[in-house]
Amino acid sequence: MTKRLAQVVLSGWWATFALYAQSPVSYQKEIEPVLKKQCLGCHMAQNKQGGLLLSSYSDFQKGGAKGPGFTTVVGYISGERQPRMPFGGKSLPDETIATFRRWVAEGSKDDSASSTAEVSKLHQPALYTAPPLVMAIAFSPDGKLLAVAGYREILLHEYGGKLLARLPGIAMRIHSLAFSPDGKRLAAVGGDPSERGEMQIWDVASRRQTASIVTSNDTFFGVSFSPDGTKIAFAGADKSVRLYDAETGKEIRKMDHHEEWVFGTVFGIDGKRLVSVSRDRAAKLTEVDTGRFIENVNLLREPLTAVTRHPKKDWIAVGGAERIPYLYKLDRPRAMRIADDSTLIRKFEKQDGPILALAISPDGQLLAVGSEVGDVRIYNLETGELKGKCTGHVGGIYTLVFHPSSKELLTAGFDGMVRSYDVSGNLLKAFAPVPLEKTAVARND
Amino acid sequence: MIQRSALLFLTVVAATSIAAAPLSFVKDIMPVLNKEGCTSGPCHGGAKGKAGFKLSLRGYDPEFDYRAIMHDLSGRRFNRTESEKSLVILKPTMGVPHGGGLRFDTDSEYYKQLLQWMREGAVFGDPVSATVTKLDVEPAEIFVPKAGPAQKMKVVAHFADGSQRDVTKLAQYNSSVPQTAEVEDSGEVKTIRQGEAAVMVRYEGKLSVVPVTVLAGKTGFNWANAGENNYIDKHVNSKLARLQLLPSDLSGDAEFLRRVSFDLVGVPPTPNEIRAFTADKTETTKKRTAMIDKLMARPEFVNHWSVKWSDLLQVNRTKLGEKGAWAFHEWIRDSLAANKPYDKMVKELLTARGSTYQNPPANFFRFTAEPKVAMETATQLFMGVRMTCAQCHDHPFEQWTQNQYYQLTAFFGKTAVKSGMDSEEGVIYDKREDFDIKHPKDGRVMNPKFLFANDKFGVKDEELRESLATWLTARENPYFAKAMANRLWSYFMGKGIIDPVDDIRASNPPSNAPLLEALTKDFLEHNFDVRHLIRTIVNSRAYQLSYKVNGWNGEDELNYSHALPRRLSAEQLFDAVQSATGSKRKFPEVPEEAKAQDFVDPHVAKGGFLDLFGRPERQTSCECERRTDVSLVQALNLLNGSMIADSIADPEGRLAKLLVKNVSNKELAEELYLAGLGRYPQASELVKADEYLSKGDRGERAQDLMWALLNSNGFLFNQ
Repeated sequence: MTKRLAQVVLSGWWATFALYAQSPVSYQKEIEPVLKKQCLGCHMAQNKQGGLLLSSYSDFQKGGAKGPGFTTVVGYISGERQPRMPFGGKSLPDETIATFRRWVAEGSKDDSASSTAEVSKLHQPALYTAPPLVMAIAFSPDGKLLAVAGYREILLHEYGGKLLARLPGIAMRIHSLAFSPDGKRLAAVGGDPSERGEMQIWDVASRRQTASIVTSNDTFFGVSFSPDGTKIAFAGADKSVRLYDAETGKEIRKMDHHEEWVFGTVFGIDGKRLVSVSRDRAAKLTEVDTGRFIENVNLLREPLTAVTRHPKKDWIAVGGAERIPYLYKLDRPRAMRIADDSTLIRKFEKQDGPILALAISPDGQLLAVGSEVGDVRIYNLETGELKGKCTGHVGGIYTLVFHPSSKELLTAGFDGMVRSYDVSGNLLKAFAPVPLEKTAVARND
Repeated sequence: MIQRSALLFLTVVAATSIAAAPLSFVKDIMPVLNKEGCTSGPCHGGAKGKAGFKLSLRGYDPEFDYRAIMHDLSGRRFNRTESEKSLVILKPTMGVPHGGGLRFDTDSEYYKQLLQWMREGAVFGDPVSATVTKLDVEPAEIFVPKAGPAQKMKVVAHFADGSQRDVTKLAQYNSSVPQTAEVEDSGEVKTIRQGEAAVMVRYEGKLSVVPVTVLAGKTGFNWANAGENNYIDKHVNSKLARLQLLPSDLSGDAEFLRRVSFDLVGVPPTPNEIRAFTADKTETTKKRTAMIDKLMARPEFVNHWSVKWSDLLQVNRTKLGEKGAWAFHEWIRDSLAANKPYDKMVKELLTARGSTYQNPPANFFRFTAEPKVAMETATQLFMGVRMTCAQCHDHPFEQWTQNQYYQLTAFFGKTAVKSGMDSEEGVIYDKREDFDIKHPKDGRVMNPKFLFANDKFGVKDEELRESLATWLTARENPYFAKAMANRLWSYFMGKGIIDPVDDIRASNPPSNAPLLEALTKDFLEHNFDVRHLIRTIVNSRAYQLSYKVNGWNGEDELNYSHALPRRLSAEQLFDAVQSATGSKRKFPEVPEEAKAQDFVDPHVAKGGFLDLFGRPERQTSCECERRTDVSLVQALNLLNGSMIADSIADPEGRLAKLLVKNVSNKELAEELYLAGLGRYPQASELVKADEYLSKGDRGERAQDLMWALLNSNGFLFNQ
């Protein structure tokens, strides 16, 4: 009898002690992971249900249409407010709800470490146990340097020679690379899918990064320099086209003319107009100085993923899901009418897969087309005649570039190899653009 | 080709790390995407995908899905350098925000599997090794004496390469009647309440159905075999006894006569017919059989059934032209009057050529108008198979593929319509060029091929439709005779053994398979004799049961333990009002003595009573186009509309004639009950009627009485 009483007393004491001994709830370790796993699907920037965003502490604090974040969210996850959250899913366990309550009672503190540590870790060069997917390659205007997109880095090669430098950055994926016309700068855009986008500007000679703009909630695509080298344009999964000052790295303008993801940009010859292509099927022409939308260059057919311009004329080639490359001119020969396609110069043959990459040779003679099924074909731009087929790829082609001499075409994509072909489609060489680890043991741990 | 080379390359990449066969997309990953709902219609499997990521619906096209994951948007979703950072694994685990929420966590088996697959090179794999040939499900049937117990199922998939695997976790389950039996994602079946359900088990395109039966759990059930009129009753009773459902009593003579008259000739019996039939002392079964034969010999039998067939064959002047509609209607009537064997009738429809005036069955191609519609109509109408879904994708539940859709359509590729001499005349002919049916995905020309039994039935290029008709109407076609037997059964019993009747598929199992088999066999043995089958059905005791339920069958709607009251069709109701009131409605283009069952198409008496009560426009060959619901507008029309009120008050009508005769109140009431409800009034009803008629203006009160009878369920329903 007394023994049992003692036990009760003891356990009561222990419970009290345990309560006092509990360390305060950590936002970073106990709250944020739950929000990320359970809530962010509907309360991310793309959805923002109930006006509530839960992607950062400050957004959480701000709350949404139903009130300030912390207490309102606790009300909804506990079922005190209806409908209970997570909406349509299983209710959170009681312990988790209790943890949220305790965190609020303790003053809802943000104990997240500053993200600098993480970023500095990201600047370590990657270890490649398998070749990465190569999404972008670019030649310097003199043809001596070849930039290749790697994993959280850009690899700068002496073309035909050694790896000169590794330029690490934040973006996991570099979707697009472009040298400035004078060859002094290298611009790169990409990001981490569904998380953030990044635009980087590098000083080529010193190998130093002069700008890193991290913004948006998804990756960027299709970077291009204005012909005078002063401006950089790039496209985004956030349906935007952004214009930056190449010198200062400052945003000039963000344009939202598209209804869907935008994949490519290219300036007109005089730099006054910009073309952007999107999943919304349009190649949109905008005025660079004002951001004003002028008109659609093309007749809308199917989603577009690639665009490139003729080196000397205001002609663009576009392609995408329809698998057919089209050649358009930017200047319409007459006033636009309904279902007008008067800007169309030529329609090329249908490819075996959706088009992901297009390139026009610097001498303006050839068009190269790369598709999702590893198909690369070279055409005479003027006649549409098939000049060559480049074979040997495994998986999709994500990027194509002609050497400034117009005598070689470089391809890369899913299989992680860079291949060089002559303009008839004969393979000249193939190489892995990244230093591959000898063994792959690391993968078994 | 590309897939294979990808396999080679990637196996080399992976070979250094893993010695065992790598996980494959098609065998190991696809089922996870299907199970987790990634490929479902509301998510990425929808026609437009979701948030820019599109997969094939329920994973019917793994090659497409593999490309979408690996290559779409320059390989956005795959990271070979750090597999765990791949979008395809971050999204479902909510490592990054995912509109579809958390599908599985980083400590789950699915996560490990996905990660291992990518680390081993993310190979596509050999489709043969992933092709499921058979699903073994245990138990094959669930039968519990009362609701409550749960049962765990075990599912084993057999693959084309001879291997097998326990896929209980990855199979997908759903219950046809969740109120009776619920099924968990894990394959556990919970029985909720008395009834029957079918649990569908799906795995990678193969389907298996587990019937679940839950008894009421009541004690004291005593099966009393009430007797069998024919083989139908044997099968119905055997199911009833098993389910502990006690059938209702045999209907009374009046109840039977009203039901069988509506069902066979579309009109109710007259008071004198009822009097004669109920007074007849012949043994019940014999008497009823004789009545059935008598009714089937009446001209209204053909009239009534031609309404049904004109619905299904879309006899409608807007599609066929006025003369075409008449010609087609006449052909239907002649076919029914001659009791043309059903297979012959269908063959004539499918193979007709030439003028729609001269050769009326050619109107089949007039209303179907193009090859795809002709194919879809022919399969749905004559085989009870719905091919429509397969136009855009392989059917998610069934065996029919998109290829088969176009191969079958190719039989109609050459068929076309041109104008004849008369502007409304159509001429069905065979095109000599430009008749290829192409696959929408890649433009491949699809050659005509049957859905099955291709070795047995030849395809003659010059006689494509003849080839198709031979195959479709063959005894060997397991759908053709069965579909018709089931359809006919549903017309008399209120519900198909397979229901809806034109949706026969593995995932819509029959409620009484032996019964359907027996009906089909009988239909075949009698060379597609429709009248024989009708006669057999209405002679069965099951058909003749009362609609009144007992303590053991009130819940049953599936097993024919009692008659199911059905609302009268628009035409039946219209003609019943005329018959009860003796009032004739006149329409401009039809003879005075015509009944609604004689109207050629929905153009006659358009926009009135008939349309309100669900007469179809005849725009499709689906049974569903004829509405049989009961609505407020209908009730208001019966209560306050002119149709009932004017017919009752017709000075030429039954009531006016009765009132001038010297009949007693009770005689008057009896006549009205017999004319309206098809039965004698009960003693208490007679007393009340007598009282009511005595207390005021007799004529007005008699009209009130009739109005009340015609507004009761006993009038509105065939019960």
